[in-house]
Amino acid sequence: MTLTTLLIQAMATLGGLGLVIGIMLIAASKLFKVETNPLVEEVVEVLPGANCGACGFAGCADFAERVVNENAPLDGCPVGGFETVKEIGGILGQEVSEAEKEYPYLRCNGGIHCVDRFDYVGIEDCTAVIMLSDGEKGCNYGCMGRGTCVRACPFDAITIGEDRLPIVNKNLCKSCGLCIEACPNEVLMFAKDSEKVHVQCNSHDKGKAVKAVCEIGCIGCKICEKNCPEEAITVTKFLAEIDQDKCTACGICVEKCPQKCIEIK
Amino acid sequence: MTKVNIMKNMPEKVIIPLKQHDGSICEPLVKKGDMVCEGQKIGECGSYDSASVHSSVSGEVVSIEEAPHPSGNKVNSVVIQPSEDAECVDFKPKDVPVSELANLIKDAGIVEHYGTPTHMVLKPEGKNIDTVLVNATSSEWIGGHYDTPSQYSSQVLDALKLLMKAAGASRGAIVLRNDDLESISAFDGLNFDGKNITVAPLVGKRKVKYYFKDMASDIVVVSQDHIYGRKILDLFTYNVTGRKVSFGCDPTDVGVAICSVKSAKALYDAVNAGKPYIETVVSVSGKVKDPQKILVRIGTPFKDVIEACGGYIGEAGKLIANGAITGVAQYTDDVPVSKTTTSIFVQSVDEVVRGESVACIHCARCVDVCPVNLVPSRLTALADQGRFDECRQMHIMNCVECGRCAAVCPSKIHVLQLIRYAKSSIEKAYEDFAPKQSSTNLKLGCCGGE
Repeated sequence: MTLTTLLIQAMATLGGLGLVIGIMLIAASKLFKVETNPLVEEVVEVLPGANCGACGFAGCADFAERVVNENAPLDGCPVGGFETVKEIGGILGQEVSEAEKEYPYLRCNGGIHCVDRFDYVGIEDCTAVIMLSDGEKGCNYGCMGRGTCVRACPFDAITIGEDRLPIVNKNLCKSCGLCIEACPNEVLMFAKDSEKVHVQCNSHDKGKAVKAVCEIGCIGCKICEKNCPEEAITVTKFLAEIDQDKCTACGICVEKCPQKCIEIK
Repeated sequence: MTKVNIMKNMPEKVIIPLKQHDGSICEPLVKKGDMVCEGQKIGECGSYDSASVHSSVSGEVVSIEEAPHPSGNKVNSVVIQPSEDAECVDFKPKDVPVSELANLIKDAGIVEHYGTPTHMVLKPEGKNIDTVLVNATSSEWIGGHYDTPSQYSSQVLDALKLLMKAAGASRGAIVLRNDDLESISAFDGLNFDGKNITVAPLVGKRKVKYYFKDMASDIVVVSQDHIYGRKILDLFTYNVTGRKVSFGCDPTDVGVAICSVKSAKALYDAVNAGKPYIETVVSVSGKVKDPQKILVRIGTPFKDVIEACGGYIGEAGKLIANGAITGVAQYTDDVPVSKTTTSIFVQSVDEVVRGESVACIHCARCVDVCPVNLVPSRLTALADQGRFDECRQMHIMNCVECGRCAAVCPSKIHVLQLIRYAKSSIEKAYEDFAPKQSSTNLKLGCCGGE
């Protein structure tokens, strides 16, 4: 047998095998075909594919299926932003309008300004810290700075700054809200960019108790409430709250606040 | 008999937390400036999962404020300044019908050492209790001041009968510790209801059921090895009765009520002396001049208790309530003794371990010491990576939180904290499931299971 015949034989065998298996595969795909809506695949294509679960469904494919088949809201994916919503709208032939993007906002400026009650030695995680005496911070409502939100973020948008408070990088943030869910003290909240004035405190303690542990906490003195020309501020349970619909960002409350805990951007 | 001293000095002020149990917080019945007398009810709550709170001194209510609590959190508390000329209150014994016993327990504010109000243990809603166990395995839990050992044993037996009546249970047992010879000799040979009591050891598969039959008695006294830990109840139930408690359930689900010597003594006092639960025995140990067991009024700040024991030796480094290994470290000595406080442990500055934890060296010392045969090193590694479901598969829920693994770890890994972190995460994840459903459907074998 020469080398040529050997080669031809081998090629014929392998080629034949490939052909047979190929025909079998085609037959199988025709026989066992699962009917899917082609729209679902198109929607999956335009989704970011992070599978973060921020939409409330089990990953991007599940979200796409719900959007197409079960009329889930188109803007359910906070990660993709308006671009994605527009594309999904184009695929499904629906009109969409843009909602303003929201970012997590930290309602605490304590950090190093808040006294520690004891030295904590243990796992570096807020959920673990809070199991021991509500955390080592003097304030039970504030940020503990142990980085549970940092680890919860799938996009690396949060870092702990020098003052032991988390900093949100708005370029990386996709508004998925996982950090807000992870925070055991619920000190993070969503805030729109157009909302200029915020109270940087989450403490419902009485003024005396706040002053004992934190230099810059809200003491519920109601000065801001009395001075607000729009009546946008209410103090409930020793904590000022701003009604963002009424606020005109005049800045009077920021000036008047004796604790300097109201911030204007 | 373990000597129990009585604290003579009245503290400057007592801080009585309105929540000294697991459940709803009590509403204060007094206001600032009121005069209260010893044993007066100062806090009450209408819901069933709550126990009343009483003043332990006669004096004036100084304030009602958030104050530190030995569990670590701040709790709304009544601060009372004892007055010197307060008249002594005579407590009168009450004649209580059996049907009213559970209400009496709630009214007298009796709470188990693990936090559950005693009436919740004896009369859980929708469950039947057939066996009452009195856990006397830890000598730290001596309930009160007794003159003689036989007084201790007969009072505990009387209290057990009351507990059984309150629960409607037919059988009861007192569980002693194998090496606690004082208690064993106090019970051995005691004549009770015309029968001579013999302390029987729980060996192998010979559980308490065998002794009920063997001694033809509904009340037996048994002894077993010393086991301790915060979540000991399930294991204790299995060791004594042989009944398995599945994940998410507690011993009352299998018809067992576990009480402590402290609550037994408190019930005995409530019935025979008419006295509510206002004093408890705390064992003070560690770096104090005169370590002892001391009978104190509930609400006495730790610093006054330590003062009564001669004060600190040198500078105190760490103050731990409820056991050196299992307890909670306190950040101030202003915390009051509560109903669930069993001991105070003081460490000096040099004794406090503050080392950074380093990588596990796989020495398996934690595996050797674990009383429930878990693999703490593996659980810790999994918990650290957030792989809680794998922890669950390795029976992390069986952990009794005794803390021995963390104590022996040469790498100073926070083993117990990581395990508790994982356990709380798992409980949070499965809290939507009904307990019984989760134990069978999810194949969570707690204490054996299948």
